[in-house]
Amino acid sequence: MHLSEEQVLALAPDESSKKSGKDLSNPSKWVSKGASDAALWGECQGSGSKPYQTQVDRANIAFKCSCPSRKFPCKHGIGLLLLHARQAASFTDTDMPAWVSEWINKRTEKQEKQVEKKEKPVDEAAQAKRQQARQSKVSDGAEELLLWIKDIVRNGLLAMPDKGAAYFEGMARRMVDAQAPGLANMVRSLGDTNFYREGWQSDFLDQLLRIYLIITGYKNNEQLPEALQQDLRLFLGFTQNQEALKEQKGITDTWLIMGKQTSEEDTLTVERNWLYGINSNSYALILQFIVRGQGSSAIPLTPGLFIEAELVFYPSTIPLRAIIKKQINSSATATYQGFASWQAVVTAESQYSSQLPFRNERPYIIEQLRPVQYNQQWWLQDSTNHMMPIDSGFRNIWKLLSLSGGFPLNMAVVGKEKSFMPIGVWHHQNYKLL
Amino acid sequence: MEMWQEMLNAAMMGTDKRPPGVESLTPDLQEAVSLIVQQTDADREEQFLRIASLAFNYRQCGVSPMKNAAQEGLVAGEEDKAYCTPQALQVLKDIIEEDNVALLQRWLQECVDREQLIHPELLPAMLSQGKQHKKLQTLLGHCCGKRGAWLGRFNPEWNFSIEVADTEVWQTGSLEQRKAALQDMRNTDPALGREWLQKTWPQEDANTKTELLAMLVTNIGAEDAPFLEGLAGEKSKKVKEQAVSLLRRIPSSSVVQLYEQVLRQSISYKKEKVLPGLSSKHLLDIQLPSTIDEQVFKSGIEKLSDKKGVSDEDFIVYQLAACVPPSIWEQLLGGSPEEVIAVLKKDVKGKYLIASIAQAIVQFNDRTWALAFVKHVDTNYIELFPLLPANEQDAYAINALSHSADRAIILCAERPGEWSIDLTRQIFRYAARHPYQYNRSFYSQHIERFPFAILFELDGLTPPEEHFKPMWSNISTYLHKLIGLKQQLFQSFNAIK
Repeated sequence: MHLSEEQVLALAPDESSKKSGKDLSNPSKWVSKGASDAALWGECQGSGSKPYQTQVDRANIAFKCSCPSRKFPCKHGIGLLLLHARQAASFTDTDMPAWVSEWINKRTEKQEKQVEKKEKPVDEAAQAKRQQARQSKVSDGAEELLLWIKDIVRNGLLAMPDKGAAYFEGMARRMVDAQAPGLANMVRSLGDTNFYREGWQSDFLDQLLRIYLIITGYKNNEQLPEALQQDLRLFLGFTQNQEALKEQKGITDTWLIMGKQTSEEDTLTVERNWLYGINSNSYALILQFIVRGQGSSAIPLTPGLFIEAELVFYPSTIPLRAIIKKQINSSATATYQGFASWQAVVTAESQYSSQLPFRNERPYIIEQLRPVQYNQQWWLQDSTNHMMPIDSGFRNIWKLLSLSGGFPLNMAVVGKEKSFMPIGVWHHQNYKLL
Repeated sequence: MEMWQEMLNAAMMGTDKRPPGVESLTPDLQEAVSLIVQQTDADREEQFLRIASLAFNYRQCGVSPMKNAAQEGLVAGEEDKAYCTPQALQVLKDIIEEDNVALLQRWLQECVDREQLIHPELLPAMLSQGKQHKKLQTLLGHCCGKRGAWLGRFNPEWNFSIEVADTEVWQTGSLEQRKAALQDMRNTDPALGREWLQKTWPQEDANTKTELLAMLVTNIGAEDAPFLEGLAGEKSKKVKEQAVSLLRRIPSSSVVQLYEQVLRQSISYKKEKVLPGLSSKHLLDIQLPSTIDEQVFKSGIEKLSDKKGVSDEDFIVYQLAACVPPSIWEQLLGGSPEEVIAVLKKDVKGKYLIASIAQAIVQFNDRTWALAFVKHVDTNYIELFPLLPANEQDAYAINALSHSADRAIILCAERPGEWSIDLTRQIFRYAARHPYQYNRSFYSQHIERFPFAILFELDGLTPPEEHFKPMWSNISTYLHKLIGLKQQLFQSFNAIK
């Protein structure tokens, strides 16, 4: 697989790695370098006497380097890939040295073993006891939160802007203590409301009602279908056993990585990767968490690339979140099929909301959208002249406008109800990130 | 929406004060709402939350996109030029990241020369650069093509990207654009350039007049004199000063003619017999006429000497000598420039006159005299550097580095094109020992002048002083990066597509 410079830079963990990687993309920095179908490798002269040995698995993007950096990938990995993107012809060596072939073979073996790996026997009685204790804690927490919500509703939202951050943070901490981190995050987002923004009241009430629906749903858990129960558990913050999930059969498809949205939460970087399966015509969200200063087990997903992979979806009434069970290969391009109009999107949206009223945003590929200005706001207009507003937080309107030139483009967006954020467009058959 | 607004109003006031008006709910929800209201297990808040949840989901399930007629004609025109290569585009991204305006300007010039365009993906970033660096606007206007012009319709700050003819830029552009257009026109058709300025002159403000007038220095000639002479009545002092400074560059202008007349009256060069019938020698005599037109002093010539050992009379003559074309001396002393220099070198007052003539050479761009000075005058007048033939310039500049290094470096930097490796080496050797003056900013601004080969000599140019060594090491690393980027720039444009 050949990555473009932009795609390589998208893999860098931070700005300084990008910069250092660029400096290391100078051929003079590399004592040796080579490439085969399976791997890229090179020896980079650092400050020590022995050059660092850097290697990249090209089939399922992965990095290894003998440097002491804790970043992942390190600047040498970025530099090597950048150099390859710029001067692939200079990688004349095609025979993998022993240090590369050993690693590649090990990776292949590991992948196979992982599939075969059996789960360790667990003490089911103890596990059930733990679960019961937690459920009880969560129920108590949910009751407390419900009282808090009722208190807000009784006294009116008018008083909210004066409450201060501590009011919300206090309740969020109570929810963490009650082992309901999902509810804690939802309460925190209430506290993050920008009370100076016009229309905050509607967003605030929306979020309050979402929390209410989750609490009420959880109280009536036993009467609900299994899938909905799982949704509620996930929203409350119960973790899903990923190993157990990987035991299940997933959907093997060619997935386009439509975009990556990252956010920083204290020392945690949350990566939201939006994927689209071209044969199954399904969308997926791969959430990855990277703790700053620690090595990452996250799979490097390069936006704009198509990957062959088996994805297992979390159980849900409207499955979206998934994990990558197995990444088979990465391929360059493939065709896709999107929604023909906004009408088709809102029909799907209505169906999702009717099944899961407290759901989050979803991604969509929509064909032939063009950005238009109307009432001092930017909208996306489809081929039937129907329009939806672009999310006010969208920062790259000029890039979108420039790529479009007023002409329609096939576009990937993420959003819900009446607010959509473009994340990529197809420009002359090439997928461009926004 | 009315229903949701009702829920919001109730929530804002609080259920204690204002229960929601269920009658505003859509008939679709009436049945469900009446069931909620009948439930006795719920308190008032719970009831509100149930009804509001119902309204919330009804709202989000019932979204429909807005229909609006397509607005015709709001598309960008089709480009008639090709886009630059992906390699060139990548170099452009790197240059923007490095924030190097000199390289950015060079990149844009290469792009314009090859009649290529910047890919739409990068246009917003480039147009923003244009907003920040006004001198790039004209180049950007060409490189951003019709798509750039189209974007300018939505963002007034990017309006410069609209491609228009020079005449239109002159009439409607910003001051920087107009200056660039006027300078271009002065290069190709000086008379038309002057006519442009004359036509719009009454509408310009004083500051604009001064700025635009300065552009006439390009290809200034006798034809410009009447217009400039006519500016003596201008109100603004700045404009008048600018006009006089330009007139002093025109040999046929009245002010230069006046100086020339006084100088001719003041200088006499006679043959005088030393011993009757045996030998004779030439004597240079300076004697001001008894009356001098007051206009001479009004135009900037000082009456009193500020030099020790130089009389007021001589001082006036030296000033006049600096303000008239040097060729006058060929008539006054009856010889070639070389012969005139030889006479002056022998004379006591000659050294002062030589210094004045050096100024006159620069003022009137006299290349013949400049070359004669370089060959026959021992003193290095670095200001003559731009007037010298290319093959003489570097040696002259290197020579000047020992006494007027800073001025020499400025003049070398102003000269277009790359420096020779010898010149670069000598300048870097000097700059390395003056790192506070010649910091990263100097190298960043003048990156276009440095040849690639200098990279192999940077270590050898390390200054002997210990405290300068780390600074030079940093500069060397920076130069490696910049010169590497410059090399990539040229390679990317010359690469076969």
